[in-house]
Amino acid sequence: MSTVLRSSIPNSLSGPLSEMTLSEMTLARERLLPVHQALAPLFGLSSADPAPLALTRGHTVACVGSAAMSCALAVLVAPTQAGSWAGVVGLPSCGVQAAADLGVALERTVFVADPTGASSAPGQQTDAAAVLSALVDGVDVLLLAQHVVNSLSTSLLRHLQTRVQSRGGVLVVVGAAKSLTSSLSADVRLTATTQQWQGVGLGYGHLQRRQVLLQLDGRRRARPTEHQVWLPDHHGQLSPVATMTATMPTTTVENTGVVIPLRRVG
Amino acid sequence: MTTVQPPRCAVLHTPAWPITAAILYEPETFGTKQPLAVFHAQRVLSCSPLAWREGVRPGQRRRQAQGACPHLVIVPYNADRDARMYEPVVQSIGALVPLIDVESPGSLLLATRGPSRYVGGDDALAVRLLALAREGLSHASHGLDVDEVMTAGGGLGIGIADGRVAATLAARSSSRRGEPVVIQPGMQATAEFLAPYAVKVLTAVAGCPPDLVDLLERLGLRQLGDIARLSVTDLVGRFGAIGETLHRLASGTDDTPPSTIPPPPDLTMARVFDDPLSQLDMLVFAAKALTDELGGYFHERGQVCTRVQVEAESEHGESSQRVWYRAEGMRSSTLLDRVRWQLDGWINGAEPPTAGVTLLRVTPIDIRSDAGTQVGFWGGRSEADDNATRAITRVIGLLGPQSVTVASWRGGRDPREVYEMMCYADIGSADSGGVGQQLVLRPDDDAAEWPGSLPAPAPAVVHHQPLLVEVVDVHGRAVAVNGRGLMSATPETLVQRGHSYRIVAWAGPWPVDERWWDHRARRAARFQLVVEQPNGQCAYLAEVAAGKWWLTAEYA
Repeated sequence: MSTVLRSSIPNSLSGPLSEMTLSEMTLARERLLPVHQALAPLFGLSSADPAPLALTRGHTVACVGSAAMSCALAVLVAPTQAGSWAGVVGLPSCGVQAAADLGVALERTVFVADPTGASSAPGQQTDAAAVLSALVDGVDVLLLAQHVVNSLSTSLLRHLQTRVQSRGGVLVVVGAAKSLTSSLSADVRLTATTQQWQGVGLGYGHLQRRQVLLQLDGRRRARPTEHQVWLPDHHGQLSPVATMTATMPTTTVENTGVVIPLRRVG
Repeated sequence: MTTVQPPRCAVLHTPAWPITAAILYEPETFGTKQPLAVFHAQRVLSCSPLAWREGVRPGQRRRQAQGACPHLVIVPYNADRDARMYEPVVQSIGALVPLIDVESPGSLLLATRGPSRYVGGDDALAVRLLALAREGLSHASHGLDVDEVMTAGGGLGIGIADGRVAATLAARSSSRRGEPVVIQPGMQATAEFLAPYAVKVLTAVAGCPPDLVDLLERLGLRQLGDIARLSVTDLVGRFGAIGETLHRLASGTDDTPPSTIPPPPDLTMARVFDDPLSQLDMLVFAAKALTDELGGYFHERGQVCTRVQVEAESEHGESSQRVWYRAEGMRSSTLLDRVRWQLDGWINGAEPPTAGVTLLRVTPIDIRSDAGTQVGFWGGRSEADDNATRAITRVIGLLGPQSVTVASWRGGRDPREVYEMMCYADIGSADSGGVGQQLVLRPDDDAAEWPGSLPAPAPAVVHHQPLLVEVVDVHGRAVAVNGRGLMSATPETLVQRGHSYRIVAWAGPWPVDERWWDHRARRAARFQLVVEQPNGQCAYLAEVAAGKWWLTAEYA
């Protein structure tokens, strides 16, 4: 390897000298993590690149809206496929099958129980801090449930964000609420709003795909951008909506296109 | 080649051990005064001397045996029982001789060089072994008369001679005579002892093929002495490679040593603290001495430990026990890391000990030779994998092994079942670019699709505790699904926690009737519901079971 990745600098090199060498050696593209091809237009990049580098290391991404969970999983896809590890904290209800269908590399994804929950002992908070810092040190993308963030103190959150910045990871917070109520200040916010579900009618068909409007804004973005995607599409993956379909007024559920009848089994 | 002196061996032999074992195991059922025979595959495997006197012979069919002895008691064959009942004898002799080769239950072999010098000669050793064997048997006999049991099992023979074959034959003759048989050392004496034996014994003693023995007999070589008199060259010329083996067996120069393995050393390292320690630093310092000693032991032998058990106990009896695994192996510093993580997680965790720690024990479980780790040139194990593995192990130390899981494909109809969450600690660390080959990834072919599973896409949120809801029709009556999978009405409204949402689209019912053959039976009908909520459309996977509606997953 000709270059030293930011994340590969060992913990012990934390003196001022190593910081200096580090900043000299770190190239701009090494400060970035890839995102899914279909998300590239949101970041103002061409969608021709199979793995566009768009996610700045050290940032906190808030995924909100009615499709927040799918959206957060979609963020995990490209980094895990590129060899990064992901940690999912406090989300026992995360749909693993959906994640696998989207393309998340499950062999590099660990699911960690909520370190703040279970018991409300006073010593627990420090425990959560130790767990989260350990994870930040080891994984590139850390997916946190909103309720985990809410139960942490402000100082702890700030400490965590600083640590993420110094280690070069990305913090993804999943919350259904439109705005994050906690003191965690997100660098970018990804709002996923369900436009409509397709494939199911009144008593026939099955859920096939969902059109989602993704909006990207936040204090690190000059102006908000938006993009229509299928999340998930027929195969459970993320794909861009063809321009023609996106501009078409889609209001009724009956406008479904192909309906594949289910055979009865079991 | 012929100058090689075969090792001097002692053989302890019980001709009808299965009979002895059966009497010891079930003394109420099988008495010592009955003619007994063990049958396996409808043939007599072994029989007691009483049955022998009546004409029962090993190898007979059941019908023949019962014809010869109508009141024969049939003992079922049970290899486990034979082995288990022999264990006290092995242990008793193990007190004198550590290296024992148990050829089969009822027959054991040991090298006599050391023990014989220790107790003062072969004769003394034979007497001593006999006494030890009797002692072992008396432990197992629960008040039965040992002599009676031994007689019923065909006696107990001890033979000491040069080489395995001679010693075994000596032990066989000893069990008939009732006293130890010791053949004088030296090739001449051994050959003389072997010479009159029939060639047939080679089948039982050395595992020669019966058809070869048959051929030898037809050639006129009826005794071992006949074979020993022939030249090795002629035998090899006539029989091939086995001719040489035959000559060695017959002339008593078989130098195969007893195949004993030394017992594994006890590597448990424990430290008891007279003054209980409650500070982590001091404990870790104490642990360092233990792990350094273990690491030094492994280093000297070129070994690494892959699995280790760490135990700590407090003054009040609380304890923390955990098994750590590292595929690359552990030596002193990596071992110490595990001990520190565990102690840290225990002392600063949710349930800290209420008193100082008094005992620390480190037990290596799996040890293998250190073959080193070859780092891949491209791909393979990356820096990120190393970092992640370290971080995850640390988190396991803090939260406990149950709290860090990885998903492994299992398959199923329900979104909850398709992936199984496995403890990371159980499947070990990353081997190459991920959690390793131990994790089952989803197969690419159609086998991944279970019949009756829901088509893609899968729900992004799966409720492991389903949410109870109500689904009502246009008149406000609950929608029901009957046994034939027919619905009572069209679903109109979903009522969840007091709020009503309009159902804009739905599909189903898709019935499932799983595991009707056991207690985990599940009978339900599944629906997909799209409801209009204030923040847009929401799609759910619902299930009707026993008249109740549950939301099992959400397409969030």
